[in-house]
Amino acid sequence: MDEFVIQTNRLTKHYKNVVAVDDLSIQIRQGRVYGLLGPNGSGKTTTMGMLLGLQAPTFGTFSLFGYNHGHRELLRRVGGLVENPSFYPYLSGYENLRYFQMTSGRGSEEELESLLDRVGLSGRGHDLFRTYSYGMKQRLGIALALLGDPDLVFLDEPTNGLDPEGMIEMRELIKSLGDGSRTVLLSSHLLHEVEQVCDSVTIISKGRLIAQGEVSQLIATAGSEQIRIKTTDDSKALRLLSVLGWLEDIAMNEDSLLITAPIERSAELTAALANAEVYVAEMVPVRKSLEEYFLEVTARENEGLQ
Amino acid sequence: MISNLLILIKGEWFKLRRRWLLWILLAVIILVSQAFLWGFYTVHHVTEGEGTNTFLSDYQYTGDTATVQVSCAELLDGRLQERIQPLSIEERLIVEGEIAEWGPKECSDYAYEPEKFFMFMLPTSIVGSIYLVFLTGLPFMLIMILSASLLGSEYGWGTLRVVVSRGLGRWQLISAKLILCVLVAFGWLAVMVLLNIVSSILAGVIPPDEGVSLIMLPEGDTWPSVLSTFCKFIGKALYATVPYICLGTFFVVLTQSTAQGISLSVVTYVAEAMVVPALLAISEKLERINEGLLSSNVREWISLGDSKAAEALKGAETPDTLQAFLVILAYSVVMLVISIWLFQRRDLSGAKGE
Repeated sequence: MDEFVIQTNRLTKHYKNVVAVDDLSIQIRQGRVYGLLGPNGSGKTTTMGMLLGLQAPTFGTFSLFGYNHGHRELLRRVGGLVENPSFYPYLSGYENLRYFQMTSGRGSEEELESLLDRVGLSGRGHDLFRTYSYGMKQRLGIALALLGDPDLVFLDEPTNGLDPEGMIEMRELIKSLGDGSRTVLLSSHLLHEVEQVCDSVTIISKGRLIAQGEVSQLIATAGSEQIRIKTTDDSKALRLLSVLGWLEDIAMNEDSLLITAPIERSAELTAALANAEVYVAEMVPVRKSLEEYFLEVTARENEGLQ
Repeated sequence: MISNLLILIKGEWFKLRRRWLLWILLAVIILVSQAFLWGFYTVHHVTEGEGTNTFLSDYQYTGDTATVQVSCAELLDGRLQERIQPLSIEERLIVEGEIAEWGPKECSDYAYEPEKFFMFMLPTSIVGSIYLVFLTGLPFMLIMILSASLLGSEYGWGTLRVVVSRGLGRWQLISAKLILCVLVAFGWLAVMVLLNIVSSILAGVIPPDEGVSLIMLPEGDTWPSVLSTFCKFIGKALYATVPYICLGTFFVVLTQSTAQGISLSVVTYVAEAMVVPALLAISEKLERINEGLLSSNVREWISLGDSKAAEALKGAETPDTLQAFLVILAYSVVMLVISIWLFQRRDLSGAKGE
């Protein structure tokens, strides 16, 4: 089997005059949690829709598990929650799952109760779907995505409508799904959520790919690292460190110094200060967040397009 | 492939049995069918010995030497020649020509006294009122609503996306829904038949008919011929529902909406069955087009050709049975193929909230 579970090649989708996805080429390896990031209307859901056979690409191709699209049977190895959780309102949560289990032949009837339990719906599984809150509907959607233990799971904004506790539970669940050989493609606009859950991300804006890679690598390449320090004498420390040629920048804040320098040279910093009898009370590396990185690259992309 | 289809049909039934719509439509069709049966029972006891032709006047012709009047009863009894005897040969020819047009229009809803009686007497009552219900076109309308709703609701709830994204084939899905509609139509027929049997027994035991035979074959009929008519009618009625199931599905696929699909189906049905034939009747040349319309072919297809009225009205401008079979088939195939083609190639959007 190809090591890429998803591979798109110049995937494009036009709706009349609107380009929803534009020349998108991405590769997603097996056994990880991937984040698909992008502002609203960036083409995340359309991309997922094409991969799930709901929309036909205007141009380009894609493969799932190494096989070209058009193999409907491949979708039997995929579970998905795309856009809103859509179910039959006059059936209970359990009956909805039972219908999909029966017709797709995936999973077993015995598995349904445990699945409801896993997403926190065990007490309400036999209530009608139309009586569910949005969060409960979302949970049922995730239960369906997991039905039959699929090799690839698409989750589109899975924590929408969940309470804070539910969001934490869901993040843990998604993290655990990526253990082993299963691959999860998670679309979200909650950047801190993606940063916590995903190993790698693909960032798209206006349908185009603008960045792809491991979360830590992307942040590391986003710009210089910073170190925040508190010393016994911040003014003296500022004077001492300003003369070090390898420091990119140093600034005094209210109660600390913010130094722009490689983190691996922090030992040299403390040594220089200690030699001048200025002692470090606190030293914290300041990492850029995925959110800052995301805003930076999408802004750059927008400027480039204008 | 077949087993997949069977599983999908089972799945569709799993959902449909929980919908109120199915049972409401069944209740409507049962009520109408029972209304016919008990209506004839009532009319039989109220107007015993008379024909039932509530709206229509007799045919009248004033010739040079005499004036003749012909009623539906006389026409259907084959007493036309006897009635026009006083007229000259030329006048008789004129009258025969006029009656050939007048009869089918005016006497088609005429019921004989024995026909009224057999409407609630076993074994003819088994399909008697059901046949009349089918003549009204109500079952076609209801099955069209059901088929449109079966697929249209999935667009509304957004569940089609979920179903298709799980690897279920689109044409298999649409086929399963269509087959289920035919099975539902069969179920409706079966329920109507059972209730007709129960009602006929009741009609035989409640006053004033208690003690009268519960089962009576019409004169000249035999059990095999009655059973054959019964089976043929059920088969024909089922076949006649197919183009309407396809019509409902076609409009839903076209509009991707239950409300619009049902509206367009009903409007098409009414226009095709009532408005267009009326417009075509303006010209004799245009009247030929009527033979290609679905509704006139369906009427011919389901007609119980051996009824007294049908026999008497032979020669009317209606398509023959083979043509009716082929026209129904053509309508069904064309609408099915277009529906599947559209359904296969269209993108599936999210819930429309209908």
